[in-house]
Amino acid sequence: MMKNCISITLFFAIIGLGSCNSKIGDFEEVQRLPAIFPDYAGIVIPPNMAPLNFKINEPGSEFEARIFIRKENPIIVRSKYPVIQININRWHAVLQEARGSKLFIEVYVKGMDGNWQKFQTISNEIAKEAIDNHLAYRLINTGYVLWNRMGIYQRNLENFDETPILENKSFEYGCLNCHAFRKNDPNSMMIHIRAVHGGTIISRNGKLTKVDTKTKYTLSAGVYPCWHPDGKHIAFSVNNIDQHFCSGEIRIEVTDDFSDLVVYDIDKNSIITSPVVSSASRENLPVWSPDGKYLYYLSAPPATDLDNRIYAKYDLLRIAFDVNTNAWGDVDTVLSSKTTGKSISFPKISPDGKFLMFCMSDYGYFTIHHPMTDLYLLNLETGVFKPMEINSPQTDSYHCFSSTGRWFVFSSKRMDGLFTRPFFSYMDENGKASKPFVLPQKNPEFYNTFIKNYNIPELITGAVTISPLAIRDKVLEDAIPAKLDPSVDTVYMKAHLAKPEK
Amino acid sequence: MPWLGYKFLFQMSLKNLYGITLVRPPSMLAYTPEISLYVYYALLPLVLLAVLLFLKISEKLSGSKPKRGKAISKNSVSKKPLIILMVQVAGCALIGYFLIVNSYDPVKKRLLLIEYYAENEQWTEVLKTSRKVKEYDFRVNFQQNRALSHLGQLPDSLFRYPQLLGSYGLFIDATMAGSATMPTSDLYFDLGFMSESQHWAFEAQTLLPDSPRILKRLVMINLVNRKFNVAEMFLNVLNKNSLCREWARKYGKYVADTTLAAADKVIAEKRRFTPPKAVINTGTEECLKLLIETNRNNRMAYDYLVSYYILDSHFTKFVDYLQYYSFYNIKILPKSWEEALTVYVAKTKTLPQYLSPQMVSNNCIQQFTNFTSKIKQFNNSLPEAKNAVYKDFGDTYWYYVLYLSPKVTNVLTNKTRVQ
Repeated sequence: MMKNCISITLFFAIIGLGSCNSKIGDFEEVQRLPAIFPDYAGIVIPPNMAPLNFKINEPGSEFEARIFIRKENPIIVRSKYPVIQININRWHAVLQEARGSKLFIEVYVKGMDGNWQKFQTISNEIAKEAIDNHLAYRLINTGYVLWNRMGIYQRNLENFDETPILENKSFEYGCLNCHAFRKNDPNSMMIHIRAVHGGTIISRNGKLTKVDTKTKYTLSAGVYPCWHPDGKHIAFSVNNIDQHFCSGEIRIEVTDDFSDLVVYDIDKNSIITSPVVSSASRENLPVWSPDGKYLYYLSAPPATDLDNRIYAKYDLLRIAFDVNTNAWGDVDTVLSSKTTGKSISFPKISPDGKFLMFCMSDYGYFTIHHPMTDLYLLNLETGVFKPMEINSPQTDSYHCFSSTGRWFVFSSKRMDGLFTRPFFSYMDENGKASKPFVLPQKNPEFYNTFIKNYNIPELITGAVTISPLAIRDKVLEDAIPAKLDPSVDTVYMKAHLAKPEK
Repeated sequence: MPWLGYKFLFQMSLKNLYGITLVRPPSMLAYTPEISLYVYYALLPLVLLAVLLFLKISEKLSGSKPKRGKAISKNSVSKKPLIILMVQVAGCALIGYFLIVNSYDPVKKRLLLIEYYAENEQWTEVLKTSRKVKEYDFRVNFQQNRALSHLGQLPDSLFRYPQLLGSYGLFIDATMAGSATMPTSDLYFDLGFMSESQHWAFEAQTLLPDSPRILKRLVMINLVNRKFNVAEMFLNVLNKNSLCREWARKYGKYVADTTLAAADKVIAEKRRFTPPKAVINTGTEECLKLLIETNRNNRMAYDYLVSYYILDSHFTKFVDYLQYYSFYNIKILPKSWEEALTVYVAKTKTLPQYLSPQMVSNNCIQQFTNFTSKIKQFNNSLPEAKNAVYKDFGDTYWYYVLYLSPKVTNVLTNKTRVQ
């Protein structure tokens, strides 16, 4: 019996090997690139990226892809189906060998007439610099007001493993959002919890705390965060947010009635603000310079009615802040919406401090619902800004640099105009970005039926190792209320919060 | 076990693990577990317990204990007295009866039926089933209005159902209840307001991500909006469901050949009706006005807007919009409109210039006279006159405005239960 089994197995193995090795004889050359999905042609690939599996969108009865650096030793994938799934070990071996050189993909399709066709060879580049090996994101449905199940997940970019960082089923289906990391470090993380068991979870080197960052003298609990490089402070905007549903191309506008900035001192559990960043204007989306000396942020004029609340344009400003003395400096305008003609949003500074990547839309700051939103790059040394090469006719929005600054991930709706997917691109020292490619999946048809959105993609240098159960236990605890720093001018803040009648 | 699972294995709350079969379903299912469910859960352990007890008692009665490890023979079971078997059967039947009787909720069943008929556009059935629900329910109110509108009877029969929520009975989106999401999406689709229909379909999809009903709605909206890529995404998901494959195949052809979509009667109509203008949605009234402004042939939007003004007793706006009646080839004003108009005329002592006296039927004028006389019989005491007035005028605007309108009952401001 055992002997029979072995014989049968061997027989099929030989048949299988035979079919893999059977050479394609004559073929007709097609003078164009093959249609493949996702589009992985002409891109720069990180040397540690998971296999870029793809589907050949050409009619045929048999398909073959040859992936190689040199023709004599290709990875060959032959299939009756147009889905090309590449062996992960061989893929990584090839990528390591090909660092800094070209990677080619040849696609052959056997037509219904039995004749093979060969398409033009796809040529990609393998970068020398690796990408941070994990991506953290929230997966959400497209609903705007109601929510049910959601979670923040991390995907190992070197393979296809996705694991939860935290799912809301573990705490009575509360809302969780705005995960943020200090300089791509998975050991310094924060997550907001809303509605049920509300508070902000802060994780530092395995130690978890839960705080309530709302004080009597600030507008709200912390909303949009940014870790200071020292890992001891987080800047937040505090916002009165509302949603407005629309007819036309833009389905929804997310706007603020009021917004200010605060800095949270983690060790002292205290909130710091100043009249300069809690002014009548709407300060928003703070981001630290890599040296931690400046806080860059957005600012729009006060909202006096619904129209200018929605259609206001945001400028990019910066202010010096000394985390040791809590001293605020003077405000500088970095880039004015009058100069750009558009509204600036989501500023992010490259780790070397040379570039500031940001979104621009016709108005407002919540760009993900604006199809006209594109990514721009500001050279902080020259003050020159330009639209990035990677933009598409659909929304191109939220972005994050890798720890080296050579890679960045951004949210794009380019695939269908509705669902947000993470795309990666290589940026050279001159700020030139390569053609972006979507997060690879084991099944290349994954994106055709995946009806959730990747929200806030953040590159991290490793996996978040603190367990979801430990985070859940912390979420279920009461939040520790943050104190107001004694330096805050409470008389001013009280008057500031007494909102004017509109 | 649940505690160990909670502590070491599962990302669930302890409460949810203990009641794992009772995990809160999306509220749109309108499901509440009752005692019958717990009895049902208890059945299996109870039966096992009963069998154990029965075996113990049998042993004691027979005085012989089966040896350890020795199986009970088939004969010993088959020798069970017939009477015991009969008691067991009767017990099961009783429990079954108890469960059926207790779990049967005719009102909930009818609500689900109304929802089902509305989803399948069986409007006459919606009206028939609505009549069987005796207690007021806002979902019945909403679907009844929708059904009447589809049958062209809304202006005539608006007050056949007690409109206790006023204009909130026309649009239930303000409730933000999960169960209101898809009906609201459906209504906006009927009206041709695609952006709002999509907004509510997405809210519903958040609660039930793979519901074919919701995905089908999203396909239709995106076909109307010419977002063929998005329609294709939802069709791909539907195509995975063998029950929806035929439907997906039909509309998949529309994606492959977009001229088919343009030739589809429903899609073509919605394309004519949906506002191309990008505006912020500031409320249902503005939505309806925009729909009429977009395409005056949208009779449903017109009926809803006039009904909206009547229900909220906005007389000036009602009269402003009533003047477009001639566009819809209306010869005699429908019942609710002429009733509202009589009140307007009584208040202002003027008839709008665009109306001829013949537009209001003699019957209506006579009824209004009778109505006021009836009130006078009770020395204008509304509480005392209520029952007498209800008998003859319960389905009129006049009765509504004096006794049922939220402005009178304050149900919306006081959040009192609707009686």
